[in-house]
Amino acid sequence: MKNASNLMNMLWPSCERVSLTVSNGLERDLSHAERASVGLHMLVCPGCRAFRRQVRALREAFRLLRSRSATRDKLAGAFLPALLRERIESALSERMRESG
Amino acid sequence: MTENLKLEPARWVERHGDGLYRYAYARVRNPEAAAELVQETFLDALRARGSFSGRSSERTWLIAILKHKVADFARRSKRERTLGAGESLEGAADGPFDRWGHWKRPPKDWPSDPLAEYERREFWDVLGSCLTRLPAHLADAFLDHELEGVTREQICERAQITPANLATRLYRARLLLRDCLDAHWFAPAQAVAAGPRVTPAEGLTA
Repeated sequence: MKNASNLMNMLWPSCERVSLTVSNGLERDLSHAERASVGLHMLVCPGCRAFRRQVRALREAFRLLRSRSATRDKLAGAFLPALLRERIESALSERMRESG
Repeated sequence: MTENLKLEPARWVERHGDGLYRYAYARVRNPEAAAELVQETFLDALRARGSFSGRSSERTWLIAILKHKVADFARRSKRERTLGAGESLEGAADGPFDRWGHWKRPPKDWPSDPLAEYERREFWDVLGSCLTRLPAHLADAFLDHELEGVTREQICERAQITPANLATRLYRARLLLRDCLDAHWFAPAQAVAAGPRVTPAEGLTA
């Protein structure tokens, strides 16, 4: 019975499982089994296909943010703004001079 | 060997400025206040550098100091209210899947090319507001991962979690961000015009 349900999970995984595997696929290479099971599911599930396109688009957004210095300040809270950075740098180096 | 475990204050801002700022910003949601906490952290760390044992990384040690600063800040200020669970994206709904693991509302393709949206400043404002509504531990993992290019092992070490925990956090962050962008950016015209805002229900319960 257990084997049958494992096989069922692999052949007919839930959207929750598939979307987790898709997310994992952004971090590491998926196994053959994972890829086969996701691939099969994608053929019949527009929701998971849209999810995959969207998380890939999100990944691309952050890649852009990181790689172009002009875009770094577009996202509040992502990087320390230049003015505040200078302020912190001078406070810290002043304290370092004082303490020798 | 022990050379690696020495602190290098002269390089703290360069190495940890962004990371500490992100941590603080995710919790206090104000650039000035976040930078202030980061500065206090560096100055305190400099004073206390004798107590650095080298058992953890420089970053982990600095984050531990910052964590106390953030907690003090939350106690001092009335901002605590804005950090309450009610506002976060999680817990608002009970997840996107039904008990069989199927989408309750299956994602639909975004109507426009996301790459074109990235050219617009407003897109980043909406994304930023979605990020501040993530539970802080999810935002930490997600942003460190996407923006800093550190290894998964380093993120796990800092947050004291297993690789499986990290995968789950990244996954949940993506689910929530996707959903938030769906509702507040790629939604039908009238919702986009209104932008992300407090829902009427929240206003009425006050």
